[in-house]
Amino acid sequence: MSVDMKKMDVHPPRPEMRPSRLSWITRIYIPMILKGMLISLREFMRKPVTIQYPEQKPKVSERFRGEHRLTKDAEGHMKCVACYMCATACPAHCINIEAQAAPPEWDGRDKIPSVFEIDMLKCIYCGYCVEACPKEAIEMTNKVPKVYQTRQEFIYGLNKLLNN
Amino acid sequence: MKQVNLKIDGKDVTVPADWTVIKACHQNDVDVPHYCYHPDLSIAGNCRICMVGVKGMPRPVVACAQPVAEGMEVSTTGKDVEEARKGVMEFLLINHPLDCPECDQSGECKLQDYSYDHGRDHGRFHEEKVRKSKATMGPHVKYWGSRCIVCTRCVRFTEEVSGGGELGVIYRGDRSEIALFPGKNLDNPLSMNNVDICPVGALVSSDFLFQSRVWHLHSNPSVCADCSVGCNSRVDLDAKNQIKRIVPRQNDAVNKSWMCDHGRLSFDYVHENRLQKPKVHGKDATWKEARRAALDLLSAPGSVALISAWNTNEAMQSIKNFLSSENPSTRIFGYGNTVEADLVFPGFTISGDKNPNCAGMKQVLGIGDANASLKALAAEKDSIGCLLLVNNIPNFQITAELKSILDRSQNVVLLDFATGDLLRYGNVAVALPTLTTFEKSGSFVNRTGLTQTFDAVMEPVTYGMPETEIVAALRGDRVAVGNQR
Ligand code: SF4
Ligand code: SF4
Ligand code: SF4
Ligand code: SF4
Ligand code: FES
Repeated sequence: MSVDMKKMDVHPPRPEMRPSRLSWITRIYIPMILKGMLISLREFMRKPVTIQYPEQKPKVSERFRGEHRLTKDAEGHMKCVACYMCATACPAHCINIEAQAAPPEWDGRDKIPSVFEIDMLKCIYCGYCVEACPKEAIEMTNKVPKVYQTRQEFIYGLNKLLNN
Repeated sequence: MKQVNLKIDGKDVTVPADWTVIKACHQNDVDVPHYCYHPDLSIAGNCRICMVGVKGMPRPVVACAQPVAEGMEVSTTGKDVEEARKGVMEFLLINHPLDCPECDQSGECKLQDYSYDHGRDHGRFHEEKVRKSKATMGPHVKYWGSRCIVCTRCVRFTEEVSGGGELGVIYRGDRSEIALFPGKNLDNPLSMNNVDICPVGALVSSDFLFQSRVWHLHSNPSVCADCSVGCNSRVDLDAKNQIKRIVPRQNDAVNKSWMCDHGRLSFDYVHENRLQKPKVHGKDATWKEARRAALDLLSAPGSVALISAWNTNEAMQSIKNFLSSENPSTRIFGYGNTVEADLVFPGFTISGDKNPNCAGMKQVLGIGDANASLKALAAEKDSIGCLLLVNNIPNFQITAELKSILDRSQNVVLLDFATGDLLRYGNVAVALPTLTTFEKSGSFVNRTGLTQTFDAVMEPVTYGMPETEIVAALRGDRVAVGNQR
């Protein structure tokens, strides 16, 4: 297809560059300030939408992706087999797992985690770990993440996750 | 050998007449899936995954057992071939527990790969699966029967390469599994090769068991330093710079596809008892101080350099050059681990010379027999001005001969990576930290005269430097690199 060079050369005429001028009412500012204060006043009268987190907890939907929980099977053993799928899928690299051999009396089980830590500060609550798990061993509760004084407390270990 | 011409997927190739179709394909970069076939073992032809089409044959044939012939036309793709592979995959997985989440092979498993490439995406088998035994085959090998596809690679390995014939197939049909012969134990020094050659997760290493998932490891090529064979190896490390396992790299001129258990497992010394920083008279010092102290001592008259056969050619050469310019009267002697008899197996030999570079020492320093050289020095009586001791032998145990030499040295400058026996013995004036074979590059000459170079596989874990850099620092070419690391 041939291109018509003449047509391509046509530009729309450029608007004249001139600083836009404010009207005098805007330039004396006072009416604008009053308008702004009226908006503040109206919002001041309304019921606030913020809550006093963490003392107050928000109401969240049943499907809210909150803190994780490690699930247990019928015998009360953790279902997790330390396959690292969640850690592999996690985009925030916040899951740290170390594996060990399962106790011999756990029938049909070879491997369980000796360390299972989730750093709740790094976690972005995306839920990929839950999707990646082949054993339905990890799920997300609708618990809103808690607040602690130290960073260390935000790293949830095996026990905490199993009983969350 | 007579050559024959054939066509593989339409491409003309010429190969020796005694090759099989699978070998001709692999050598010409055409992938053919295989379980039971291994280039260094005999042909079994029992897994049937390697089906290829051959023009003129009514149905696909197994490429691993089919010899090449003049004018053959092989196709590795096509409907027949794919159907055949799909069927084989389905049968192999009928009794498989599909426990990839718990299996160490996961991520490097041929069942996973070929299932993905050639299998179907769901199983159609609803009956109960056969559960097979779980066993400990030997000190380094565990067996998960349910995962086994009875390809007999391990059985053939114990018969043909390690020669002990410890393993055999018991039971029949879908119940067949691998077992030890009564009274036998898979404890030969090559046992861990069975773990490598097992295409699935049936034979796994007890040392690597549950240590890491393989996709979290990064690998670098290296050369084993534990004997004069110089097996080509691959070192797998985790994200924390820790060596997790060592496996062989195929090199037909040196080690084929094998490696001994000792070579695979001796890496603890990288992470334990390391000499972290230079020491002057037992106290931690900076490289600058240590360099000055070492230079002073090394200029003493009547000095001797004692260099172990664990050093690289580069280290030996640089030390030799340094001494001949700084203190030409220094005499150079060698030493090494004691040499035992070779361990000979039908398909592999482990050298009794537990030093990687005796041949290199002969080439570079002209010392033919390291330990005879040590004896010669031990037999002398005169006092030694300064002894430059370049050790680098892991877990080195001090010998009586070495003790007598140390005793008559006025000063000792030690180059070593460990805080071992030598440092503890007492009269070391200056100790300069070096690096292990895994942390530096260099070359060794193996016992067949082959010079093999290798690179560092990991970041150094100490403030040590390779000998060549230490020599450069001593010369002042590079002002003591200091505590950079
Ligand atoms: S929710 Fe997302 S970020 Fe948090 S642990 Fe799971 S995968 Fe990682
Ligand atoms: S929680 Fe699930 S995905 Fe994560 S290690 Fe355990 S079994 Fe695997
Ligand atoms: S244990 Fe592994 S190598 Fe041996 S027969 Fe079974 S699958 Fe093959
Ligand atoms: S045979 Fe020698 S070179 Fe090969 S792995 Fe064993 S110790 Fe290392
Ligand atoms: S690889 Fe050919 S039959 Fe197994």
